[in-house]
Amino acid sequence: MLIRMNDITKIYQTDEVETTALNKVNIEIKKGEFVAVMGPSGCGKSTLLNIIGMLDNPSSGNFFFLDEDIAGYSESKLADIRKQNIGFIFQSFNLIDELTVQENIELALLYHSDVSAKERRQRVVEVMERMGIAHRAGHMPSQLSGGQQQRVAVARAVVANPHLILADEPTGNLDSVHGEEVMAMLHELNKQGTTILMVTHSPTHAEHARRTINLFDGHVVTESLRAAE
Amino acid sequence: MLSSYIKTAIRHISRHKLYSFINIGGLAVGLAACILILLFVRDEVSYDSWLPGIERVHRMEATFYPPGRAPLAFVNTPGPARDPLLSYFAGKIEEAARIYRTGHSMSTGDRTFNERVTYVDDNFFELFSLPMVVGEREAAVRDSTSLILSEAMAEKFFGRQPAVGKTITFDNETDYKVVGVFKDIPSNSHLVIDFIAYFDLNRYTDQPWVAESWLSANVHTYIKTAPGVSVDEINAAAKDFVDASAVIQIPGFPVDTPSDILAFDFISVPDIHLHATKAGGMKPPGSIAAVYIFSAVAGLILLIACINFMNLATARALQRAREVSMRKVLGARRGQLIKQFLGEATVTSILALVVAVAMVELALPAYNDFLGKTLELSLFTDPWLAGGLVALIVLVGVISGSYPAFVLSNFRPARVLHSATSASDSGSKVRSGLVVLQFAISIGLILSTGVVYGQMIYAQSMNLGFDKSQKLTLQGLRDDQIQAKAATIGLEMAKLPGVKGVAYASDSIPQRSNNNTIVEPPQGQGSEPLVIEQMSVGIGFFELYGVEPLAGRLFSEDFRGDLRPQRDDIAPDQVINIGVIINQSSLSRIGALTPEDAIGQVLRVRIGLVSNQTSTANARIVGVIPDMHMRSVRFDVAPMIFFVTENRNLDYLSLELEGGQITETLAAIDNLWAQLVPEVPIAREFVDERIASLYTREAERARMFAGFALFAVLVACLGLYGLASFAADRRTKEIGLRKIMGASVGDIVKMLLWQFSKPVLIANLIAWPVAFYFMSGWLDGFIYRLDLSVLPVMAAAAGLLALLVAWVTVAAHAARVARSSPIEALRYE
Repeated sequence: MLIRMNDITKIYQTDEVETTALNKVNIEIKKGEFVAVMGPSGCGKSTLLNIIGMLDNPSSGNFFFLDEDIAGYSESKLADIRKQNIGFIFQSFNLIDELTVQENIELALLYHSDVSAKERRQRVVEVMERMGIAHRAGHMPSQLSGGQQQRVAVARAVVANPHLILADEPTGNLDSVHGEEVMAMLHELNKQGTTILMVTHSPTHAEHARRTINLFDGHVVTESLRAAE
Repeated sequence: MLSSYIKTAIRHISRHKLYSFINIGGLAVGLAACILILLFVRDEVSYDSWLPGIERVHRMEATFYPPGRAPLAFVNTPGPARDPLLSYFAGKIEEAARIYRTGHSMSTGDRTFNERVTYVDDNFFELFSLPMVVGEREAAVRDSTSLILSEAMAEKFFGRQPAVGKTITFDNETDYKVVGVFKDIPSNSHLVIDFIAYFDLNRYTDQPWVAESWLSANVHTYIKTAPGVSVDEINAAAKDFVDASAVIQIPGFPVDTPSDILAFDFISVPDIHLHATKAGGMKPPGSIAAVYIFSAVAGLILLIACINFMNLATARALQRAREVSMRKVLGARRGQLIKQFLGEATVTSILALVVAVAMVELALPAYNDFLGKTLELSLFTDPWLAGGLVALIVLVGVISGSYPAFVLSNFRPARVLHSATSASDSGSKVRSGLVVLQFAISIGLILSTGVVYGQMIYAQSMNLGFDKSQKLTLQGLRDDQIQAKAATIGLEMAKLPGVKGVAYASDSIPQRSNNNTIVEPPQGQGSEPLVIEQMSVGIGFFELYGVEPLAGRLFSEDFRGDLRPQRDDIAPDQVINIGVIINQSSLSRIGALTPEDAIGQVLRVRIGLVSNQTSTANARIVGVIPDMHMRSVRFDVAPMIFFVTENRNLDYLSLELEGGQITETLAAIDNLWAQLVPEVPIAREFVDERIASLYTREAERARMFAGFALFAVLVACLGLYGLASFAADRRTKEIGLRKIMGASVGDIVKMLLWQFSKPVLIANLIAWPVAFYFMSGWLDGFIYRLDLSVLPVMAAAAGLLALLVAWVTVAAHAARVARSSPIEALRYE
């Protein structure tokens, strides 16, 4: 089991308001799955993704990653788990404006002390070729189209060979052609064995997933399975 | 439109508190430093200009060229030069007046003080028209029984009672009547005058060196030139004047051309404070270099503050891009925007000035205390000052506002408003360059401070050739009222518990006078007579100061044949045999290669330069001692010859005290003195304190330099703090992403620290050579100076210090951003 969440609750507190973003959510995700998370705005999709990505802590409940209860892990320990296992793709790409395409991708390997500089460069070149952006290696993000930027973001997410890719509305800022392109990439990655958890608004894109989790007001409302293609 | 500008300016200031604090605070600190320095500089250049007609008054200075040794330059001049000046330069010099300053014990009623009296020629007030509080100043010079005194002295002597009409008795024998009180001489004057009385030459007939000898320099001589006659004109004729007027007779040493031995030059009184170089002024001189250096430092601090402003303004430009773009969309022309930003800079500068003026007012008492000045920030009564500050503000506003105005007004609204990504930060390179400049200045100032301090410590801790610690000097033992008891005083003092030893000498350490004698070298070492500095000591003097002979022996009771008789005890043309000690610097002068060579050689010494006595002594060298630095280490040690005489003939008594109970010992010494010589107050001082006082001006300048260097670093750090805050905010997204990619807090902190270390490291490369250049030039002015090889060490230390300060400044931001949750960064995309 890659992910097991038992009664995960997340409450955001400000001075006056208490917002329950997730309410006793139970989710299990096996290795190799392709799961879509759907639901209206504010239903807690992003919070779920952040907790799974270990960027945020649940208020209560247990979260097992690779059968380890990560509650109480130090931040640096979490950072270690994260960089070994998880790749991120965001709706707004989140590339660093001051770095080139190549440098942006390299970033994902920069903090892996076991990867030598030579190997790092080699892997970056490989992944750029795979994603069809090798000719853009020296360009700045602002010089690329949205679709190209998201390909760079995908390249960055996969270059470290993560077990799990968390994609937060990866097609949200893209037109349909480029959106399909990205979905095809995710599909391909999943076929090669990478677990994918994707938040999306698009039912079409959700269809790429074998399982869809519907969230509403912090609850898991339905889970639907699709037959393998 | 204007109201819109002012409104946005004020809202920006109040909304962005950190930014405004750094901008206004940094600028205020910079301005305050600048104002403090400008007040100092203005005071330094204003010396004596408060005296009406002073631009026509000049001081005569003398340089003696003793054959075979370095010239001796004094601000004092021979007494007899005054009358020949008036006749030789008739029509060019209107007045010439002398000042002779000497100390007395002065008593009124049962109160007695040791004070210095200024005796002046009767036309003194034609040159220096000192304002009076009460009485007529000319009354002081009409007879030799009247005096006028300063307000401060009037209060010291008579308290609240009127001083005029009172009597002050000098040295228990001469009565003077107070006929007036003059206003205290302000601190910005080269003059130090407390009492003025008539310089009555009849009183000095038994001291011919005061007013009669062309080879002694004991008076100050001032001239007043006729209108239209420049001091250069007088200087040009000074050599001819010497040859035409000076009467120079050195027994056994024919002088054909007086100007070979003696030279005069004249310096305008307003120039004295900053440009006089010769020894013997009434006050330690200022230095024009210090004026230039501190002016430069003021400019640099202000530049750093302006750079802060520019950097922060452009750094935040991106945040204001939307405002600027909207203004443009709504029809603002570029010129209007430039005006707006210049206006904002000026508003900020004005606020900073208000804060700066408050800072200066708060700092002034301590600053005045430290400088010994009475500087004032009289904004409302001093149009020059007020005008200067307005000019400063406009300058600062324009310098610091122009670059941001240019950058901000250059935004293309379409790009800014329609772009999803933020506008690119075109100013970042310029900013880095400016930060480099700021830190280069700071590092340069830190390094220079280090060198100045290092030199000061070096000078004060260098081996002077004797032990200066726990030594007390009593002076005035040859004064008429004391001389009879002089020997007894030493004997009795030596018996006090806490007094380890006593010894007499003709001068104190550090030396107050410069006495020279003529020596003929030993047979076969050339026949040219040498002028050599002389000092007389009592037996035990060198032992008391821990001086050991390099060769031969010291003076002792076992060799009373060494003793030099008093001048009065020698018959004319009598040849006497004595023993002398010379210092190491004299060795080469008498042709000796080693100290041992000198022992036993016989020098022929003429006793007395002033009168026409021809007594000669055969002086056998019995010992050679190491050089003793008995003056500031600015001066080289002169070749010296030491005579030994009876204690009763010597003016100064040195006491070596036991450590530990100094207070009790001092009380016992004062008590004993009061019993032995109740009429005269004790005049005592510690040798090490007096030596330290030789360097007070340097120490003061060094501390001032250090203080303003600190200011500069502080202002630079404020700017860096603001930039770091800005950079941290700007890089929040990037840092969040890096953390998601697995960067630890440490990685992020390291990255940010490195970002800000780079400019500091580059700044070192600029600061070092510049500081090296200036500081080695400055050190060249010292004979005994810091080894230049310590400069690289200091440079590395200064660089490291700057780096550490930068790190401390940036670290808080770095840690804050590094620790923040990455989702914060990504949520607000």
